[in-house]
Amino acid sequence: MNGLVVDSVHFAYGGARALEGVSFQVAPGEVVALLGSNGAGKTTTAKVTAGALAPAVGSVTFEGQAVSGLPAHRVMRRGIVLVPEGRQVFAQMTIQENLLMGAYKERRRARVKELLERSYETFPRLRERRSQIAGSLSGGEQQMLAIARGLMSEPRLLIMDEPSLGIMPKLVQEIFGLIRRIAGTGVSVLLIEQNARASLEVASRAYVLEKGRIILEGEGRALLEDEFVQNAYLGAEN
Amino acid sequence: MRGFHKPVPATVWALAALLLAGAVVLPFVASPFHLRLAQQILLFGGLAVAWNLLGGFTTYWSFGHAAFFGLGAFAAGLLGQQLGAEFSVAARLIIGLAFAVAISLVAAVAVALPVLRLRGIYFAIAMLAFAQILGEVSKTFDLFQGAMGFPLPLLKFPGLEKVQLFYFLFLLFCLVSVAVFVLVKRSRLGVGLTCIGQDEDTAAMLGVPTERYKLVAFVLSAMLTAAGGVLYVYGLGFMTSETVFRIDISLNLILFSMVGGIGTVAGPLIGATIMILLTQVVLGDLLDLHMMLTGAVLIAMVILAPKGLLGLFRRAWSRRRLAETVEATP
Repeated sequence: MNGLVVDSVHFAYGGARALEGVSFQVAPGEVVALLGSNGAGKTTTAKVTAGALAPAVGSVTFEGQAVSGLPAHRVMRRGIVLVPEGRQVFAQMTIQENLLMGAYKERRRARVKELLERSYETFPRLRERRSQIAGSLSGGEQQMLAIARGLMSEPRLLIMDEPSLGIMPKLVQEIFGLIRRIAGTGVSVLLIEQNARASLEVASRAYVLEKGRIILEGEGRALLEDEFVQNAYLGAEN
Repeated sequence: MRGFHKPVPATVWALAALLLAGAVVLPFVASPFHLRLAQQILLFGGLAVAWNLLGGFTTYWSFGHAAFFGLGAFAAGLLGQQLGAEFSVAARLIIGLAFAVAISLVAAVAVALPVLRLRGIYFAIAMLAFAQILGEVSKTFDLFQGAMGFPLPLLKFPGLEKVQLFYFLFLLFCLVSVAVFVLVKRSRLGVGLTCIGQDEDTAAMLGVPTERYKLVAFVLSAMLTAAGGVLYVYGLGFMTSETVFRIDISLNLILFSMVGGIGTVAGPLIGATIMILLTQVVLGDLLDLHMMLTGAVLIAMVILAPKGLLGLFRRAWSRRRLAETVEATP
């Protein structure tokens, strides 16, 4: 398989087991959602996939090459970019500097300029405020900046960890619309979310993670109808 | 790195040229007492700039840079003894400098591999311990002669008094430190280090080779500090463990940076100037009060101006500009 293959990954923080044999796949251009409650191991999965953590057992393969065990900065050069939870923008840098950091690996100046221009076209609000300090943006805007910065490095797989967390509802819609657009450009997306309904609507497939194991997988639409998922993650709605 | 740094404005170049011209003329007009003060400012200001190579960009604050200062001094001093009088003093100094820089490179890599994995306060403590250990080792083993100490040969240069000669050597050292710092700051390395300072994990996600960059900054800083140690003891003419493995040297480098402004090139130099003049001139007769005053200044700076005097100026400046634009708008 050409995309991302995560194969029976185990990981523990000291003695606390976080992942116990997680396996999933993301095909090129596909949006895959990873659902689960707090402490299920979603963020750990994201970090292992992006190389921030090395799996104790198991492997992560991207485009046919093993990436598990490589340091994070090498994994991102292979095309996997993580937009971390809690929109970790560089608060004391300007918006433009944050975006330029996204293109840090790119040494061709002309290309960096193109990427920056493309970024401002996608996110016009960032252009208006490019010389402002990133810390002065609202939460939603910082999330946009974090995503834009991730896109600056031209990922082939974008991992988004809780992009809608703590964001006002109007912007949440905008973020999910954006995820659709990103996938439309051929970038694979691994979407880690608590907002199960919105995720399942954009995702073609989804996995449900609980206590470090994948307990359910299926097509996005199908899971929306699934009784277990409805009870556990969608809440009781009429 | 493009996009992060504007070209240096002409006013800054002019100011730097003016300062340099003043610094070159100074030893021919100033009294030996003032020249000694200027020597200290140049040497410790240059060392504070070198400390900033790691501590200024990132939160890795070394509390033990005296380790490299002393290591350099001992390496050059002991090698000079071995070379003996067959070599001229200048040759011994130059060979000693090269040897000290090489030794500190090896030591810095060896200590960095475990220690740079520690973050924040743990790194600071580990460096403090490293400096203490080196100091004790140099005292304990007779091989190093650190307890009794040993003399260093007197360097001479035709036409210059000793105080003038070492003034120029310290000036040269300070210029090298400043040049290295400015080059690093304006390079990809500097931008990467700045990101590491703000959020190390995110920096790695964006493709910054964090481990390598921290190592390079640490090693450069250590090598410059070792060179400073060599020049310092040659200037003194005598050295023991107590003269170089001094915790107050480690702390002063941090203090000078904090007073002037951490992470800038002018900050540590301004900090060194103010603190050295304050302790040596204003309180010249009250030696006991130095440490107390130093502590008081440090506390005041942390509370009132965490970004140092340069930070204060910048804030005042941007407020004034804001006020002007507000007034200008009808």
